Amino acid sequence: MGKQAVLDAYQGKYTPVVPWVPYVGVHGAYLIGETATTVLQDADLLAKAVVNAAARYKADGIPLVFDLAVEAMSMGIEAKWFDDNPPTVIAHPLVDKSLAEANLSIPGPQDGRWPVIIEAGKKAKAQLGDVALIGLACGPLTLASHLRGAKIFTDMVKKPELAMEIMEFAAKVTAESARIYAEEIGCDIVALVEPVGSQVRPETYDKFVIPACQEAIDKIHGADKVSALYICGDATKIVENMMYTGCQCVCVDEQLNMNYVRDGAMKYGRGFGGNLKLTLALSLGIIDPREDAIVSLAAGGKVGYTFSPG
Amino acid sequence: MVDVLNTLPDDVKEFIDYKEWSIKNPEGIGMFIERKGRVLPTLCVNQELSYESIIPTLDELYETLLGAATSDEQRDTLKKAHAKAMEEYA
Repeated sequence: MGKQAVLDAYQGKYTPVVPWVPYVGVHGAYLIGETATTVLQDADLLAKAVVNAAARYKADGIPLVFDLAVEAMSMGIEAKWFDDNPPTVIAHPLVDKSLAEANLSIPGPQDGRWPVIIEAGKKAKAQLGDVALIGLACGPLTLASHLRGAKIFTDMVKKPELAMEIMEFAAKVTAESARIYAEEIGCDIVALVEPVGSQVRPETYDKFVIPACQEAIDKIHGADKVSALYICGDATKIVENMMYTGCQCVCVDEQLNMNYVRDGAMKYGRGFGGNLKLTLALSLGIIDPREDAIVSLAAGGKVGYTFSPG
Repeated sequence: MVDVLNTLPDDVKEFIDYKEWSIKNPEGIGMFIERKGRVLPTLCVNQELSYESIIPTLDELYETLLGAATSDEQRDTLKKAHAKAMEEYA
């Protein structure tokens, strides 16, 4: 068990025991008696929250920070902080401006929130021991929706050249984010997190999202790290498309049928992860989490499967 | 998906009674069951499951709202708002 099991499973390999990766996120702040607002802006507390959560939940792998506003905020885009949730982007600079007019630049390791995250990542990694550290980069489509708002989805049909221009910029931001997690922090795995990915049609995903992920995936593999794709929502319609993205592992949420995801992943030699019912079992207790876990584990099997919340 | 409603102009929002339900509390779960929801997120218009895990384009959204409008005044406002929204794409 431990880090190697997660790395093996994420690469589609057999593991004697299924590894466990809880997506702790800002819940880690709660576990150490702090708010999300405080922990996400303090490197020592963030490292402490991650290390504490990994120990408490006996994790084999754990994300450093589950916050998809990092990249946008590091570009100077306005967001709102919450004590019990990650920040939310509340301004869309490209809604009425072009990329040139908005004068956005790709945030590097010295910009915005990155210095705190990099410092926290290095500190956490040094203390985690046999636990895989996972960096989570905001996916290009999600970032494009931060930049342009909901108009990006109309652009993709009515003004595809504009949508492509925004996606290409977002792709470079995601790639730099992935590079920071892989190279600067040394995360063992870097996942592109694309919650909006499940809310577009398969042809849109193929045309705009898959090409936009390639530079980030190259950066991850170039650093000799393992790549993954995390997609929230009902991604049933794009499960096969997700396999073509090029990431070594695909992780899905509680709405997907794990048998379907497993078959798709095994067909393409990918790892796959999920999908303990976060809402129904873990948050509300409507379903017995133990029974739910058994169902997921039975469906996942031992080849390429990582047990995680959905 | 919620953000797509923010693209609507104020004169359209005036006659839309919009509410967001969270699946993280019993009230939201109750509504999900009552509406016979199948996936999250889902956008309902006049209690119909209109967009299930698909963010509509502005054309699609206006078309759905036009179909749900209950007066000529609403339809007129929606048509004008739709035309204005599409000016950017002309």
